[in-house]
Amino acid sequence: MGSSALTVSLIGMGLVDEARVMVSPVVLGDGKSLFRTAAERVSLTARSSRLGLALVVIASAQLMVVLDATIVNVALPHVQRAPGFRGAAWSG
Amino acid sequence: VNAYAVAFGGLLLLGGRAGDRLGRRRVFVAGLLLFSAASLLGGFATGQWWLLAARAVQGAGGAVIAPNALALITTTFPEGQPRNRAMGVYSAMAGGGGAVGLLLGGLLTTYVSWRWVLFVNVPIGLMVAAAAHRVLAESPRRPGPIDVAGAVTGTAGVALLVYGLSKAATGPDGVSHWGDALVLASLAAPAGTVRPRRVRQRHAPRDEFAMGLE
Repeated sequence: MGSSALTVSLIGMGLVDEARVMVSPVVLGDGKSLFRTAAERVSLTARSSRLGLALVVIASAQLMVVLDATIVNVALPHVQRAPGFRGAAWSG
Repeated sequence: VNAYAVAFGGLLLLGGRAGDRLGRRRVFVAGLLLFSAASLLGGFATGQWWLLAARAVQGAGGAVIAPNALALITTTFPEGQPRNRAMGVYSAMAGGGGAVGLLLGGLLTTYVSWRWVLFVNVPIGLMVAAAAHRVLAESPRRPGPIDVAGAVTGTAGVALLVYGLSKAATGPDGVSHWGDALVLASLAAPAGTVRPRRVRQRHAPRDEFAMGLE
């Protein structure tokens, strides 16, 4: 939504109901502060953040990889008993 | 002894680097899809070579997922308590995966079929890939030359090392293989692949593997 100046004017006029701030932790350097030019403080309450979900996604991927490694090791003796799979030990 | 570990170990460094270059989320999702596809194919294997090939591709997928999962945690969570907590959850899930794998592996092979050991990855992988697109932020791409020769020699070196270590293990017959010519050759060869890379990298603008293998 526009520049930070526009954002601040809208906030000042009481026209903002919700602010969605996206943070990218790799941005470096300096620049204008998002809300610094606002004349008076407007108090906001945090409604949601996706960090929890992000963690679930990342950790599930890791879970899958680790689960796969152990589960296949457990199953290998069974696999080798199947016809045509005698050399399957190498697939662990 | 395995196709999976050789591919995984060999491509781990390259997988992490690809994430730096092409965007972590994109590469992470690609790894998940590759892993799921290989699991699906492996589940349908009709012979050992088919299974072996599928496991190698799974290893490649895993090599892409693991380093980028870790990198995504450091880029998603601010330093300090949030990141420490995220790392804790991540490690706990990884450990839990091992425990669940033992139980589930036994249950599936006993009551269903070993094929399901591979099939279980498919829904997990697809769900995580779909969610990753919605939930994770993309990291910036960093264009720059990729040191292809360095990547090839580094990957081959680590893969040989893993292969050599796998082969050296004492077999079920109790015979140790540490003295085998093949084992010695595959353990010694990486020294040759790492050295030329170091020499060249003095001139390379970008380290492929900044951590070094020496």
